[in-house]
Amino acid sequence: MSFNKLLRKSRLSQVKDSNTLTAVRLSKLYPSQQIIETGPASFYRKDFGLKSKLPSKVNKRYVVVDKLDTIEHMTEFEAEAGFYWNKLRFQEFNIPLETRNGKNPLFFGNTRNIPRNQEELNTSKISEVLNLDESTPTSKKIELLEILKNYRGSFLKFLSDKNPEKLIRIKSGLDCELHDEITQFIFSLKEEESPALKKPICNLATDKINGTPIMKGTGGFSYRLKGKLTTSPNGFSEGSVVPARLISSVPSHWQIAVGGLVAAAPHQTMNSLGKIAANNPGKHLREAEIPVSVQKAVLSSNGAIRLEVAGVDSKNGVKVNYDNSYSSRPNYFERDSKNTEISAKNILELLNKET
Amino acid sequence: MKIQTNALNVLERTSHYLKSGLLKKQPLWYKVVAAYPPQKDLTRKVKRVNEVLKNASELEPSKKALYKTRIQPNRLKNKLYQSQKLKFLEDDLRKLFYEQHPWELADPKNLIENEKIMHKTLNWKTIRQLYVPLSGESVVQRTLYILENENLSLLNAYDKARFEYYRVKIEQESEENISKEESAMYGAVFDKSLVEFGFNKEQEIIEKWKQDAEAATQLLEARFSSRTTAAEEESGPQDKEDVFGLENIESFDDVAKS
Repeated sequence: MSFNKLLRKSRLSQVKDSNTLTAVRLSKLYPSQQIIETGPASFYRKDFGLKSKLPSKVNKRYVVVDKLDTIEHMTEFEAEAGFYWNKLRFQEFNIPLETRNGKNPLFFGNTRNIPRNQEELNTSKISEVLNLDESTPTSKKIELLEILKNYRGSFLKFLSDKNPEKLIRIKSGLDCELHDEITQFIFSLKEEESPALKKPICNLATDKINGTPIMKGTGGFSYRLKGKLTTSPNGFSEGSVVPARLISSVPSHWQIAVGGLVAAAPHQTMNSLGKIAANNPGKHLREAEIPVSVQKAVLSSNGAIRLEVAGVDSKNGVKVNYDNSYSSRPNYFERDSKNTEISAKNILELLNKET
Repeated sequence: MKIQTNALNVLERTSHYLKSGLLKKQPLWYKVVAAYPPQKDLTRKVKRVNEVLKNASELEPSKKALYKTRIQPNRLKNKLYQSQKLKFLEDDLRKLFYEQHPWELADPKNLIENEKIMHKTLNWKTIRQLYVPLSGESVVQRTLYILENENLSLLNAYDKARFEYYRVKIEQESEENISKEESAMYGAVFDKSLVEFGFNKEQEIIEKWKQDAEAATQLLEARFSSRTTAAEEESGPQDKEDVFGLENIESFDDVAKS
């Protein structure tokens, strides 16, 4: 097998290079490096399939590699798998991840941002359509100009079809506004005809102006679909009750940690802080276990996952109403299962009486 | 064998051998190497950080506006011995996929090679493969297959592969959930969930932190009290000032009266 083939087939080549922005790494909103695992036998030898074996002191099966080789000829790594556990824990919440787009991104949405309508196309600048910005080198601009010169003939033909009046004005030496036609023409050319007009594909995932990621789908976090109910021997349920912990008790900034993610604490929980303290005598507030029900998870534009949680009354397990901007939805199915239980009890009592 | 660090001196050493009579005949390469001496030391040495920085500072223009005009052979950048940069379309597609789906990086990847699988030629007619786990790499390979076999542009091929991947992932996740529900209905009892497990782990660490913090506080208090008593002993109790005038007040009722 040639080296080329061997390299392309190797598993090491499947790892994305970790040249990500430091801001992304430090924010820790989403993973920036591939988590690498190893089997038990290889782990015994501390062999992770990297350039060399890792030190024998490593006792974690999951590592994150920064650089395969450095000037000291060593592999930089860190034993970290927090994001992996986050993903697994989120699956236990039994809720889908929502995005801000109207349509489900798992079924709709192309990689290339096609202008939605004619108006959007007309308002976009010519430089935008040509993928030019401040960072474009001059050589690239000159190259583009040369390419555009070749399209002069086809543009005139395009103009004669679309707007012949303007063509006549140009021919007779009069001024005329051509912005809309130019953007439309360039857009019609893009990708199919001229490869030079194409944006490099690896740059499509970041918004250059804001520096924010353009995530597609759910960003790979969860593939659960909406409207799925969980069946259990106790009936249907939507979502599940999980233990949470109060992490910030600054009055204007109550925060709760659930399954490795952070959410704004529901008001009701905050109101019953005295009760929580009474139930946990001699404990610090952070030690207290607060049962919550995760209601909603939203993928925000900066890539962070925002949770919305509701308080749960620990005595009778009924969800407490919480007053905030989230759309509170009554849990019909849980109520239904409760009603059926009550009616079943009543029937049993009646039957016992008859006998 | 000792590492041969003096490969650059091969010509010098050979000429010495010739002079001393150790070698009787000139080697064939002798004149060629004399005409084009090696310019780069190919032995790998551990580079210290300071050394790299020193070299970098040499490259900067000097403050006296004097520039080096003579190129030293060891400073000459010879690209002949440098490895070529390999560029593959897969790398671009991989980068695009993982930047659009950063949470896919959180799925652990095993890098230990399996020779039997490595030598298999996989047919990417479908995104599901028997020997390869479903991951971002499946999207990359499937895109390349679509590009070759279907008349689609690169981005359209990529989008097609991407949506196929989503579909299989949705299927997998639903299947997992359903099988868990089924087993629960058949009476399976599950151990602690991952959320609970994580919560308990946190609890352990918080408890440890609390113990340490309490011990540290006690130590601080002890130090503080010993210091104050020592200071009291030195200065004597009569110097103690009654700042708040507390000695004269007998109870809180007095405070209210005053």
